[in-house]
Amino acid sequence: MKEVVEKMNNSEDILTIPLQLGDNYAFVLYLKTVVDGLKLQNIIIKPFFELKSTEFFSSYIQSLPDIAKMKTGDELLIQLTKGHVLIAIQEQFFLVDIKMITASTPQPALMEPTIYGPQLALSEAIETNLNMIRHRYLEPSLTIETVQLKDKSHQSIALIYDKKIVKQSVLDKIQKKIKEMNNPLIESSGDLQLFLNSTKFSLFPVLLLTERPDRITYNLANGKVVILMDGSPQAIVAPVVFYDFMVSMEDNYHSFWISIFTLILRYVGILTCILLPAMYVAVTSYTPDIFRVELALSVAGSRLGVPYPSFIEVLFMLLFMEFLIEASIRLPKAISATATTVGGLILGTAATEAALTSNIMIIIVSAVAITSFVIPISEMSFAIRICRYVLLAFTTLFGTVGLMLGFLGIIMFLTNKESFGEPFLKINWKSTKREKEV
Amino acid sequence: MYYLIFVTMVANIIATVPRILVIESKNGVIFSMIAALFVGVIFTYFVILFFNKFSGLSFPEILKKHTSKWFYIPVIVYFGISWFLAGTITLITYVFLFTTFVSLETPLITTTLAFVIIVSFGMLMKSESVLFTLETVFVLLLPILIFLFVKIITDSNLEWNFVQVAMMNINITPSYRSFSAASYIFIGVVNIVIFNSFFKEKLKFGFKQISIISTVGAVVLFITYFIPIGFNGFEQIEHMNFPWVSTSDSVRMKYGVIERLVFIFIIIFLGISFLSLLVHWHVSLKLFESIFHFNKLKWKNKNLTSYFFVVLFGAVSIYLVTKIDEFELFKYSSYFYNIFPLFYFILFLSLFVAKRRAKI
Repeated sequence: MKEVVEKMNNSEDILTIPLQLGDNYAFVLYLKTVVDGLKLQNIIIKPFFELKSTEFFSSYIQSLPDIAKMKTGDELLIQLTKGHVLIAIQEQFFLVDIKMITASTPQPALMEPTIYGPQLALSEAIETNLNMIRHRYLEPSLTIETVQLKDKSHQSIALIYDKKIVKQSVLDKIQKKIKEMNNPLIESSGDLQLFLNSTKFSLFPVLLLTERPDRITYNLANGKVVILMDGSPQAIVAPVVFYDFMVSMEDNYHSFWISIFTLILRYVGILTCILLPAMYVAVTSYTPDIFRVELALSVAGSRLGVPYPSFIEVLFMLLFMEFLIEASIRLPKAISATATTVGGLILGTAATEAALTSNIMIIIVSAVAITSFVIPISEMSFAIRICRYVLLAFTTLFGTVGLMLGFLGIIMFLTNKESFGEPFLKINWKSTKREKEV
Repeated sequence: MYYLIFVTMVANIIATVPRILVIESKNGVIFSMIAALFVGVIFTYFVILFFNKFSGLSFPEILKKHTSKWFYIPVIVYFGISWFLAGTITLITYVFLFTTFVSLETPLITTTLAFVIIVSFGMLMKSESVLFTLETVFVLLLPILIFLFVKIITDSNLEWNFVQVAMMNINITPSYRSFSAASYIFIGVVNIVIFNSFFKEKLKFGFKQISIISTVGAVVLFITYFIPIGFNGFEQIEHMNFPWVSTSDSVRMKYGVIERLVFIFIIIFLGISFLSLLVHWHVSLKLFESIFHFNKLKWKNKNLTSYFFVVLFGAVSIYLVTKIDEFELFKYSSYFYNIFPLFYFILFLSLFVAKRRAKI
C-alpha cells in the first residue's frame, strides 16, 4: 500500500484510512477527489463496524455489486484514479468501484433539437449513457464492449452494436483501428472520431457524431456500430453514408409527406448553399446571356458602381458572413446577439449603400447563410461551407464550365470516399427509403 | 450496366453522329439505322453473353490468362487507343460546342483544362467509384433530360412534314458510313471490358433486357435523326455543324428563368459528355495500366505509371484541341466511326480465342 501511495507522488488527495474494531482491522485507500464519500461511508465503512469479524466483512465486500477485478501495477493506479477504492483486509485486497459521478444528468438536446421526440441528449458519463441506450434498445443481442484507451486520459470507451445485424467486416475494422491508436491525449469523442478517420487531410466526416439517444438506437437497429466515450456527450456512429447526414430524427416522427417535404427542402438547401455563390460569379462575369433578358439586366443593374470583379465581391461577402457565424459561436450568449445585429446591419444595408456589393449579392449571402444551417448535422454543414469556396475558385478560373465540372467533381469526390469500407455516396435502389438506410 | 449503355447513347447526340446521319440523309439513313439497331442489340447481347462466362474478371485479366503475350498486348493497346480516342472525340466536340454557343471569349484551352483537371481526378478513382458516380450523376440529370426532350418534341415549331419527307427515303440501300455511325451509339456495352470485374453475379440478359435496350436505342436514334430535321427542314439541315444544338436553340421557354432552352441543353450535356469521357478514359487508363508498368517511375514509394498516363492523356487532348478545327474534327471522327466495325471484329475474335482456350 505504501508503494501505491509513493507511486501516486504523495498527492494530497490520496487517503489511507485504517479501520479498526477490536482485533479486526482493515485499510481503505482511495483518491478523495474522485470517490463518492457518502457511498463509501455507507457501503464500506459502516458495515465494517457492524459485522462481527473480518471474514464476514471480506465476504460482504466480495458480494458487493460494484466489486471490480483486482489489478496489478500501473493498471491498479489507473483504476484508483478512476474512482476505485482499494481495500486491504489482512492479506486480502479488493477493488470496489465507488466513483463519484458528476454531470451524470442528461442534458436537453442542443445541437440537434426536434419538436417531437425525446428532448434529452446524452450525458457526460458513460454509465448513464449506456443505461439510456439499454433502456431504449431492448434486444438481447445488443453487445457492449469496453475498451480502455492507451493515451494519457485512459478514458474508457464502449463499442455498442447489435450482434445479429452488424456487418462483421466493419466491426473488425473499427476494433483494429481502436487497437492501433496511440495518440498522446484524446479528450472527447470528436477527437476520437478524427483519429478513427483513416486519412490525414479529410474534409467530409466519415463518422457521425450525435447527441441524440434516439438517433443512436435508430442506427443500432440498422446494423451500425456506436462508440461512446466517457466524459463526452456525443456518440460516434460508423459507418455512415452521405444520406445519414441529411436525416433529422424528426423525419421519423412526422407523417410521410411532411418528412418527404422536409427532406427535399434540405437537399435543395444543400444545393443552394454550394452552388449559389459560384453561380453568381458565373452569371455575372462569364455568361450573363443565360438568363432571360430582364433578369440579366436587373443583376447587372444592381452591380452598377461595384468597383471590382464579381468573385472578389462574393469572396468578401462570404468571408464576412463566416466571421459573423464564427463570432456568434464563440461569443458568450449575452454578447452574441449584439454581434449578429451589428453584423447584420453592416452586411445588409451599409455595404450596399457604400457600393461595395450589389443588392442581389446580399440576398445570395443571406440565402447561403440560412441554407447552410438546414443540414441537420453540423459537421457536414462545415464541410459543405468549405466546398463552396473550392467551387467558387473553380468557377472563377474556368467560368460556367468550371461551375458544372466543379460540382461534378464534388460528387465524384464523395463517391470515391468510403467509411470503413462502405461507399460514402451511392444510390441504393433496393430499399424504398433510400435516404434513411445504410 | 444500363447506365454504361445509355450514357454513351445519349452522349452521342451532341457528338458528330447526328451530323453524319444528316449529311447522309439522302443515302438511306433510315435503313442503316434500322440495321444498326439490330446489329447493335445483337452485338450487346453477345458481348454480355461472353463476359458472363468470365464473371468477375476484366478483359485484360481474361486475355492474360488464356492467350499468349504476342496476342494480347497489341489487342489491348489497340483497345486502349480506341477508347482514348472515343473519349477525346467527345471532349473536343463538347469544347467546340461550348465555345460556339455559350462563351465565345473563353479560350479553348481553358475549357479543355477544366475538363482535364476534373476528369484526371476521376480517372484515378477506383473503378467502383466511377460506376457510382455514373449512376448518381445520371439519375440526377435524367429528369431534366426527359423534360428537355418532351419540351422539344411538343414544341409548335416542329414540322412533322419534314419528318415525313425524311421517312420517304426508307427504301434506299444504306451506306456504310451512316451504318457505322449509327451503330456507334451501341458501343457503351464494351465498357464492360473493365467493369466486368465488379459484376460478380451473372448479368441477366433475357427478353426483357433486350427489349429495354432496343426500345431506348430506337428512341434515341429516332430523336437524334428526325427531330433536327423536323425543326430545320430536310434540305437545309446538311449545312449545320451542330444540328442538335441549333435545334434546341429554336425552343423558348416562355416562363422559365432561363429563357433559351439551349443553355439547359448544353449544361445537361456537359454532365453527360463528362460522364462519357470519364468512363472512356477510365477504361482506357485501366487497359494501359494492365500492360504497362514502369518500375522506374517511382516517387516516395508510389508508382507513378497511372499518373503518367493521366498526364499524357491530358496533354494529348489539349494539344489536339489547339490543332484541330471543326471540319477536321468531323472528318477524323467519321473515319473513327468507319473503322469501328473492325473493333467489334477484334473484340469478338479475342473473346472467342479466350473462350476456346479456357474451354468453357
